[in-house]
Amino acid sequence: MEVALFILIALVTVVSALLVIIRKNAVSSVLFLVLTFFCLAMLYVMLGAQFIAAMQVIVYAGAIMVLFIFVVMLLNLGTDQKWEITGPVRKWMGFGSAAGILLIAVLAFRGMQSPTTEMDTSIGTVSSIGETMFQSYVLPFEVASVLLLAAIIGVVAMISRKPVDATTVEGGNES
Amino acid sequence: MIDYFPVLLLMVIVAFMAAALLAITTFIGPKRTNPDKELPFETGNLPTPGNARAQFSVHYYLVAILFVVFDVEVAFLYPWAVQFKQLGLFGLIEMLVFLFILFIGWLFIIRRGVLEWK
Amino acid sequence: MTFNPTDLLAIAPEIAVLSLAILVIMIEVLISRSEEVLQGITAIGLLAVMAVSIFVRSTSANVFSGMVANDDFTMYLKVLLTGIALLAILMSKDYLKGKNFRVGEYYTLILLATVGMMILASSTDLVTMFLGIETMSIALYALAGFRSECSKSNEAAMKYFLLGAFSTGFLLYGIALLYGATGGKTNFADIGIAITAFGGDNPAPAYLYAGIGLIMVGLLFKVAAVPFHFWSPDVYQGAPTPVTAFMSAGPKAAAIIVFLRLFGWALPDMSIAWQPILGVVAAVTMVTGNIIALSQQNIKRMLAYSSISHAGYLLLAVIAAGTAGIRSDAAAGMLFYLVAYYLMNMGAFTVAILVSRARLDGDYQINNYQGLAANHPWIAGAMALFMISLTGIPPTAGFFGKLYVFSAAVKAGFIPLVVIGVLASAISAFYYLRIVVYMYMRPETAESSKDLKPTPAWKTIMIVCSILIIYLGVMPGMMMKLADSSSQKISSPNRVVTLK
Repeated sequence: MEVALFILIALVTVVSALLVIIRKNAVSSVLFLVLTFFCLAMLYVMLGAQFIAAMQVIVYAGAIMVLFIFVVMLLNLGTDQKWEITGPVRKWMGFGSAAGILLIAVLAFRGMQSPTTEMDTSIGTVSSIGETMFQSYVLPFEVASVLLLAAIIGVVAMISRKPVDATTVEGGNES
Repeated sequence: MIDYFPVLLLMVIVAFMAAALLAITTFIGPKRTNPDKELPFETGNLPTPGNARAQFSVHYYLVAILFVVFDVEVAFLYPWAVQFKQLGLFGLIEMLVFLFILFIGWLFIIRRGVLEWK
Repeated sequence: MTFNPTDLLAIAPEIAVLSLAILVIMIEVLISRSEEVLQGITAIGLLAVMAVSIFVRSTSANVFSGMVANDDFTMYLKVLLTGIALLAILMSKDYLKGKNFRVGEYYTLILLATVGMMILASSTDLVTMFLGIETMSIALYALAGFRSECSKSNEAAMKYFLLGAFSTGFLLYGIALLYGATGGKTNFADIGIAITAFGGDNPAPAYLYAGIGLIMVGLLFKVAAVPFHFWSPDVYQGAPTPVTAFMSAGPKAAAIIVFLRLFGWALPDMSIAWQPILGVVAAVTMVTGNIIALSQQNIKRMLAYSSISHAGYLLLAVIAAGTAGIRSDAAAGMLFYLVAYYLMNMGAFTVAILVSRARLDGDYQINNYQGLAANHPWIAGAMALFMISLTGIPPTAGFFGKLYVFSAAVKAGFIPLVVIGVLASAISAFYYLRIVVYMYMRPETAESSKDLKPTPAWKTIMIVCSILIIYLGVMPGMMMKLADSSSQKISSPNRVVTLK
């Protein structure tokens, strides 16, 4: 039962991930990416990582995908614009490097055994993550807020500029 | 694994309901159309002429990024809320520090007028 | 419960810089928009942070469950990083005049980047390391693009962000593999212990090597080593010059220190795998950086390539740290080198700002230095000193920095690498001393006879850097003793010492 479910989800994940890069229309690529993220969330659930699964849906499938859509809109791609790799040399270079990475991955994970002990399903629950994060990992947790603060100030500084017009600089109030 | 069976059941029911509602309206609903009814509905305005993919103002993107930042902030609140009683006063203080630092960010956004639409 | 209130003392400098950043941004948006007030507060605040870093000590052995190190070495690094931020802010003081920068955001981002650098330099855990790198980098991405009206600056921010995010992906994947291979450990010391268990009939899994390799790629990008250096000349050229000076000194120092800590203290048992790779990278970095620098006509690009080659010299210390018994020598040499590099690089960028401002088009061409000595003997003298120190000629700080790093590498048995390093330094003399030749032996032009008008802030930086470079070059003993004694005790929290 579990194996069948896994194979089903894994199949959908791989196919939708492939469609992300095969589709020429950027918006439909993005929508397949959402599907990929959902499938990944289901795989996380099967591994007992419910918190990660929830984050995958809330942050990635939700918030990050909004950014993707905005970027597609900002770039103002016309439907007729096609991005293609030209020339057989480049195609083979791409194919070769992909095969190389696959080979390295296979070699790296070849010796990996599946865990012999029973899977500890309590480790991925929200409460056990809370326990670890707010006790052993207090410092990284607080640094995360500094990171977010830097992101807020950085993005506002980059996008909402002072006007270039020199006469308004003295006044100071702007935007 | 079996704990997630209700979730699966819910997803199946939702999918079934969505499909069923579409099917029912398609088969039972009367189809009397005229050109005005065929227009795409865009909040009562006339449809955008030409390509729907007009270029957005970068301001939308700014708002979206700020949304992501605060979405991530909220993500930290879930495990904290679940463990609230066990963590006690220490947990409260550390979350207040976390929220204070992000509150500074919020104050900065408001005072800079980033969310004001011109 | 593992929290101990004295842990807070160990991160007092970080807390102080963060509070300063919050203070600055709140003053900017709530009270005053006066640039002078913000500059004064930031500069005085950073001086206070320096005092905090020097005098506040925590006795806590296992800070925040081993997330950050608490020892003298780390504290000196924090003093150094604060010093970098301080000089960058002094340098910005007059640079910002007449530019439509948002001064509050500018200073706050420099301070937040400094917090990230401090966390990174003191981290002894993969999680703190990652968060430190990200905090630092995000602030720097925005700083690189601060000259909004200039397309080069926008290009710099874009390139830096895209490539930086990509390299973060490598780093994170490497962290995940290392975590998996060591049975769920993130602490450097725990990783070191977990790795000692491999060997014999329990060989290290192949994905452990893959993880170490990916982490190496991520960190080599941050220190701008060849072949992960392509971003750095464009970013250095496009970013506002004080930011470039800050970027070339601070993030490089923080990243190379975490490199040293992770590879020297957590992965020494894997050194047989990573030392040869890093050796090749270091050799290629030293040679390529210096050779490309030869043909540069723009001083910012030249200094960018010079900073690439200096990353190569610093990598020698990381490699030496992988050999048992040389660790603390390598760390001491690196600390000395970083101080020297910071002084001479900050000084050189200050002169670059001064000279470019006086030019009509405000550009950074090396031709602008022709005949500088005739009108400005003091500025030309300082620049000559910085260049001589960057080359590594005695009696300057740069010479002893190189000497200590090279001698650590010799002790560890990497003599061919040191030979390459010395040869690369000889190549570097051509382009560093070319500027000296331009200043002293070329006739002055109409352009170069213009008054440079150094302001008090810039004069201060040049005087402080020059005096310290000569002091460290003539009497390196005290600084070396400091570096030596502190690096003997670099803590490795949680590590159970087992005799094998």
